[in-house]
Amino acid sequence: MDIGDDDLQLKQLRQVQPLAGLTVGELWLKYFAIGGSAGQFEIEAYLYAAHALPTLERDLVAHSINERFIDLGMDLRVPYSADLDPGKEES
Amino acid sequence: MGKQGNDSRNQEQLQDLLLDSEGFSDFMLELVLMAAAGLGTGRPVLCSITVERAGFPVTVASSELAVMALDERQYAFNDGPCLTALRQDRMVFIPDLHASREWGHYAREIASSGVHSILAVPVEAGNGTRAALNCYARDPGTMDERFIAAVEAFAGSISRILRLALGFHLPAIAGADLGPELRARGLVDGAVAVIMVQDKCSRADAFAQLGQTAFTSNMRIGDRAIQVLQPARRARGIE
Repeated sequence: MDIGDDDLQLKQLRQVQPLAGLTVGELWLKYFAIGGSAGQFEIEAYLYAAHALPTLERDLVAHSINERFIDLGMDLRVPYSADLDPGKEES
Repeated sequence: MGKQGNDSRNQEQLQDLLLDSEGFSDFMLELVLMAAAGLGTGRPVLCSITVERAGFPVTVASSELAVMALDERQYAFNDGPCLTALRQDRMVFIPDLHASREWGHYAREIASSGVHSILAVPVEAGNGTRAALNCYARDPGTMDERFIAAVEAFAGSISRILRLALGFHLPAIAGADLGPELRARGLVDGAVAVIMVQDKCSRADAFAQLGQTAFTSNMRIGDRAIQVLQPARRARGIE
C-alpha cells in the first residue's frame, strides 16, 4: 500500500466533503448502501486520518461522495486509487 | 446520529422491526429466487427463509404458500432438514428424499407435496439469531452442483446483509428510514453473489470487479448491480 496515494485521496475527499452537504452518518449510510463493510465509527475515524481502510473500502467512500455529486449535477469527483496510481495492482 | 449507549437497548426492537418488515424478507427471497432461476437449471424450485429466535422458528419469507406448509411440518415435529441446517450450522442436502433413511419420517409427512430434493443452507445472522435458506424441488436433477453453489453464494449474501443490518450498524441509525438503503445494499450483495458464481471467484474479487466497472464509467454501483442481475431476473420472468 502506498501511503502517499492514500493521503492524497483522503485530502481531496476532505476538501470536497463540505460541498456534498452530507453528515458523517449520511455519508456512511450511502457507503453502506453501495456495499461498504466498515462501520460508521471506522468511517468517521478514517475521515480524521485516525484509521486506515483497505483500498476498496476507501474507493467506496470516495464513490459515495461521487454518487452524491452525480445527484447534485456537479462535476466534482474524488479520485479512486487506480486514478492516483494507474499502474498499481488492486490489493 | 447514534449514541453508542443506545446500541444494546434497541437491538431487540430493531431486530423485530426488521424481521417483521414484509418488504425486507420478500426482497431477500426475490434475490434468492433470481439466483435459483438464473444460475441453476432453470427448473422451478420452492424457497423459503426460516429465522429462529429464542428457540422459536418462523418462516419469514416463502415463494409459495405450499412452502410454508413444508416448513411448518418441521416446526411441528421440532425436527427436519431446515431446522438441522439452522441449529447445527451445516448444509443439509437430500438429493432423493424418498431414498433417504435419515429423513424417512419427514418424507412420509410431506409425501403429498411431490417434493423430491431438499437443500437447506444455514445463514449466519449473528446476535443470537439463526437462519436458514431452504429450497425444495419436485424434479430430480434440479439441484446440481451449480445450483448448490448458487444457493450457497446467495446464503452468504443474505448473511452479510442480515448481520450488517442486525449488528452494530443498525442501532447507530435508529429512527432513520432504512428501506431504500437496505434495498440498495441487497441489490449490490445479490450482484456480487452472481459474479462470484459466474466467475468462480471470491467475494472480494467479485466486489472489486463490480466497483471498478462503476468507478471507471462514472456510474452508480446500484445501477451496475441491476445490470448484473438483469439476466437472472429475465430468467425468472420478472422482466
